[in-house]
Amino acid sequence: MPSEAELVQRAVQRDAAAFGELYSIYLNKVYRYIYYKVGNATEAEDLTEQVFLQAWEAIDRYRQQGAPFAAWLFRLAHNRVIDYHRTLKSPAPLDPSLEDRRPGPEEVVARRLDAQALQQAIKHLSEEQQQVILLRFVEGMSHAEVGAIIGKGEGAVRSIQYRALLALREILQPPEG
Amino acid sequence: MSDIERVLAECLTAIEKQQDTIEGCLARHPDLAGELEPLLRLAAEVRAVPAVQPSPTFQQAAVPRLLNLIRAREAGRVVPAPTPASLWQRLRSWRPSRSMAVRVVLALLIVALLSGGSVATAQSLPDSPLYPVKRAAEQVRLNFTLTEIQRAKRLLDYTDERVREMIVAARLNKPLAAERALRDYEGALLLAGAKLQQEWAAGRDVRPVMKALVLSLDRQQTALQKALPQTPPRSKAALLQALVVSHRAQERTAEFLQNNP
Repeated sequence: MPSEAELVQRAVQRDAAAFGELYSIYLNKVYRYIYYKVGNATEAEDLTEQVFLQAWEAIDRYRQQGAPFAAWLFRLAHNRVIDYHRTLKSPAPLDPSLEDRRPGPEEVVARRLDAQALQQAIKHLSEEQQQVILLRFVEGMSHAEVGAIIGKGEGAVRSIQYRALLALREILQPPEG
Repeated sequence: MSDIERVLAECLTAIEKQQDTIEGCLARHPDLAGELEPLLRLAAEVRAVPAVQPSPTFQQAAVPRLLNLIRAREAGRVVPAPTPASLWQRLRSWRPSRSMAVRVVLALLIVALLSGGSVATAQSLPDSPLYPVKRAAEQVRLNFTLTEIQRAKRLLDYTDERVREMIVAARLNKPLAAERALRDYEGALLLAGAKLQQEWAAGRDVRPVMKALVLSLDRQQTALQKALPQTPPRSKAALLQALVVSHRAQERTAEFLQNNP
């Protein structure tokens, strides 16, 4: 079975089948990232496909000069989501089932965090904080990998991570009194 | 970087690698334990959130569909997509988004203030200030349509307009406007399909509308194909994708008519 590096190399040389295999590898990861940013499953599927189409268009410009393929792909996904929100000229649209509110105290106690609650909570974070939470804890990337995607050093990622967790805790915590 | 940021990062990494536990980490840093504990537990909770995934239908069709789109781009034309499952299954889950509803309501307010129906409005593109008025007028007509079958027909009429917008926007090299028209084109096809499916399930004959749909999709595909050579490269993607969407809808419709002659 070819390694990811081999697949990337073949894809750069316009091998569509190799690119298809890379798509299989990264489909769920990119979808997950986009889902949390747009909050709508159907839109996330469409945008995921568009990211990979864009990646195919741009792949001959991709060079393995330190930045891993995943970092390049997630940067494309991030930019696509930004374009999407810009096109809509509105904040992230949500599935009708998702209500825009913070949880009450009973819910916080009773409930375990699920994807919808997380999606609702992280949209109150800054753009960088969202990226770090998603890439670190949803995608399971290291500080270095996250840094390569968001264009920052590991130290900066650690600082953002700390502030992001503090802010997320604040959002998920019931109000005092 | 402060101590807490560094220690938090170290603990998180060690826990991820299963080289440490939350309790072990807190015991090694008693002075920071009060601040560390809730953050470590929250990180663990976020990691434990069940993974969201695309629908099985999307996952199943994703690679062949993408390869088809790639082939289409490379060749500058579209081969019908080999994705047998997609349309009808997606019909069942399609719902207009809340933001779409808000936009429609806002646009309706504008319509109430304006007399509506001007040529400029009718010909506006998705990036035009008049566009919400045009779409609101469509929505009003849809709301005043009596039966679900008639509503489906009306929605299918609107797909002609979305194709026209897509072509004009693409020719003017406005890829975002073309993409917006493409999204709404697919949305209208899905919604019309859902309505027809419901009506068929309720025992009503939707075959005449389905037959008309096949012809209408044919017409749209011809228009899209014809427009491609005059479209700047950056804006071709929406037209190519619309062709794929249209082919897919046509395949599903033809299959339905074949199974229900």
